[in-house]
Amino acid sequence: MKKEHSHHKQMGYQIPEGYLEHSKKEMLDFLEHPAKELKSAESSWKKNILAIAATVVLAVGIFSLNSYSTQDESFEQLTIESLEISEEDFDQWFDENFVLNDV
Amino acid sequence: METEEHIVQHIKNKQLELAVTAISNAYHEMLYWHIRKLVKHHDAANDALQNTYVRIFKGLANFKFKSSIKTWCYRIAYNESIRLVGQNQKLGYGNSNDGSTDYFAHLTADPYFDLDAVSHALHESLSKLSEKQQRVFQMKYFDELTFEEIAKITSWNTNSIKTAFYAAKEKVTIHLMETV
Repeated sequence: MKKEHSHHKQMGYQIPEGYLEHSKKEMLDFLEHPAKELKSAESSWKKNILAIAATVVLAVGIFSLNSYSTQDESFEQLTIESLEISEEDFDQWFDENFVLNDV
Repeated sequence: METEEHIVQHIKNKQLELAVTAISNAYHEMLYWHIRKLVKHHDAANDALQNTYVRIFKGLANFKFKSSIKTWCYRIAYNESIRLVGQNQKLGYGNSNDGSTDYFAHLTADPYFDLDAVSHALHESLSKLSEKQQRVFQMKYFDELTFEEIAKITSWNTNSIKTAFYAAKEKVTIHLMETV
């Protein structure tokens, strides 16, 4: 070991101050990380599931609102169109667009 | 200071974390310098040392006690270092053995390297050796490993290691006598 110490200095190899003590601790700490990483991976997986669920709920909500407003728009459109329909043709028009149509 | 017996006992008791800590207490510094001489750069040595620890930790549960813990750890460190050197060579900034110019260019690129007259002469003599001679010489002369230990670490034949070492020693001696 003594020879080892003298040779690396002779060879010009240097290390940052306190490196060996610090790196020993760092390496051993690093070996403990996989368990921590696994825990964080599990919690992020749960977070992802919650995020996906929230997105689905939000998407369904938006889709429902859109459908509802589409229905409103269609009804409004038909009501406007109905003004242009003559009295004689109104019953037939009404059946076609409201009774037979699934609007 | 942890001894080989302590480490073996920890492994047999399946106390792997204690075993790694004991290995670290016993061989951390030796492993670092072993790696450093092979990869030369401090940052690369740090990376290889970390990978070595990971492999030691993963491999401890299956350790077969066919060699000493020290030799086994050295072998892992050696393999990690050679793997890293190979990767760097593929990327084009590796430890080329084409000549002393490449050797020194690579060495002096490390901020944690101080080239004085003695270290220059030592490295110049090493740069004239083949890759195999360099590795054998460093392990035998600097790390003070036995030929049998080097054979287990490198998987090379003991006789070829002896031949490489004595040839390397002669070249280094002649070069140092001429220059220093």
